[in-house]
Amino acid sequence: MRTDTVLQKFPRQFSKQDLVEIYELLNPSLYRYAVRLLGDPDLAEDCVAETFSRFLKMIQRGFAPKDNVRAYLYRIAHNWITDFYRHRVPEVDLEAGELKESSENPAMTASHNMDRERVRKALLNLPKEQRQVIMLRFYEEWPHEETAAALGKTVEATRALQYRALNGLRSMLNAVEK
Amino acid sequence: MKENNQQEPIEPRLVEILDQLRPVHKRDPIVAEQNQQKFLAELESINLPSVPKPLFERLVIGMGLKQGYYSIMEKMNMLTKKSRIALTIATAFIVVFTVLFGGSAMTVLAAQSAIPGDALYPVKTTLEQTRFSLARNAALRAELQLEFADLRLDEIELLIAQGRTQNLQAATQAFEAHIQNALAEIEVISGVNPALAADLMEEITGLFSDFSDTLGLLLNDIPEPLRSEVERNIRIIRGESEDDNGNEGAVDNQNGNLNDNTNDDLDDNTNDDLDDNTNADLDDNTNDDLDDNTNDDLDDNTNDDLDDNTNDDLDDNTNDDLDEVNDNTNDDMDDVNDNTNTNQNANTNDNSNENDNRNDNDD
Repeated sequence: MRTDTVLQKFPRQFSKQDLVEIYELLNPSLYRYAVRLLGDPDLAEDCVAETFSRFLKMIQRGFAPKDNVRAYLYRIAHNWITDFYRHRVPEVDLEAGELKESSENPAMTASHNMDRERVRKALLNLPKEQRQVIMLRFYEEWPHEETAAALGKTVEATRALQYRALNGLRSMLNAVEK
Repeated sequence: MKENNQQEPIEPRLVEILDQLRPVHKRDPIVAEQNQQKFLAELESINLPSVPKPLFERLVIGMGLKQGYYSIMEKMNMLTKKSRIALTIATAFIVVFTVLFGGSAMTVLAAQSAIPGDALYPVKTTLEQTRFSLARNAALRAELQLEFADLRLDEIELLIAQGRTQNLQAATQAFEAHIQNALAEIEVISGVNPALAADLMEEITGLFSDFSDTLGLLLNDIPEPLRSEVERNIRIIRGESEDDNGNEGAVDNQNGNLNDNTNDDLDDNTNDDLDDNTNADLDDNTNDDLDDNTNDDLDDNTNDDLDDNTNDDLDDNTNDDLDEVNDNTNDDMDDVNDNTNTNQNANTNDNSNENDNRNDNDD
């Protein structure tokens, strides 16, 4: 997927066909990204739709992303999610499960769902950039270089963010190795 | 984390916990399809720009000052890189003042009353100030300023809705100040992170649009001599073209030096006026080069200049970011590793060393 030419296209003069390809290429992974953090398929769909809508508006105004389209789209999506929680969940309680998974999989046990909520809430309790690093590095399995591009930081700074994020998750999830 | 596992091993227990969030429910194909149709419809409705323009050019042209912009860029082609950077920043300020002080008819209107707002309002602004002073980097500061500008807009709308025009002055001035502060931070960010700067500019564009809408709401309450002036300001903010004969009313409402320049520029929309402003504000050596420039290769040079500037800034500023980040890392590490910092020398390398040591500890 990382070799897809439309994402490497330079200079950034996208045709409409390019933009359709970008949508088809990236909307499934953006959805997964959003639903992991939001825990709600409808919200995740809203996030993806709004991400691409903002992307089109920026392209239309001549603000095409300079280097990395994928990183750019994930950044828009992450900002959307951050904004969403900024307005709705001021304080996240790690003990209680407030958010619900709206399309429950019957195969999943209740305790498993609770564990998912714990992980999601621990992630939401991280500072925005640390959360973004974990989402991109761990769940999306991006290399440091592309993660750094999505955050607008250097690779070294991204590594440091990841280090701190993992420390934060360890203490929040009581996952310190004895 | 396949590619870099050997550098940052995560203990299996934490991986196991985090992995619980990895599976994702199957996506509803109907909703996904609806979203795709929505995207295609929106795509169909837009016109794609032929060539992406540099950030600063888009900003200026978006504000309806295209002619003046080309006049300035033409003259920038002959300057040294350093003075071009200075000129870019100085020109940005001219544009910002041009746009912001163009809205001062609102301020004049609101200045007719001096009654302060709610008793708790100073508390709110003091809290905002405190938040701002705690923001550690330009991106946070810019976002905060935009957030505050957004709040001022909400307040302006409420004041209008409640007919409390006596309190409008402070709110409009505060809005203008927040936008100015945000633009100053974005100037810094655009060197380090053009993509983030573009995001923030998108927010500013939205705020300007809201501001012009809000001004539009006021129109009905404004007596006729001022109304046409406010309408003109709305057109400026919206980037619509200017009438040539709109001078008089505007000049009457301005007094300081910046305001005078502003009016001249906008009303006439000619190169001469912008040149005057540029010369007045800049170093002598900038003026010397101005007259010799030609129109040739304008676009190419513009792109090259801006890109170069961006790259130059990038290295320096990146180090600043790294310092902040890695300082924290060091703090964590000090307990464990006494010889962490023995081989520090230059900015970038320092940071690398610290990270290496950190990773050793992880292992």
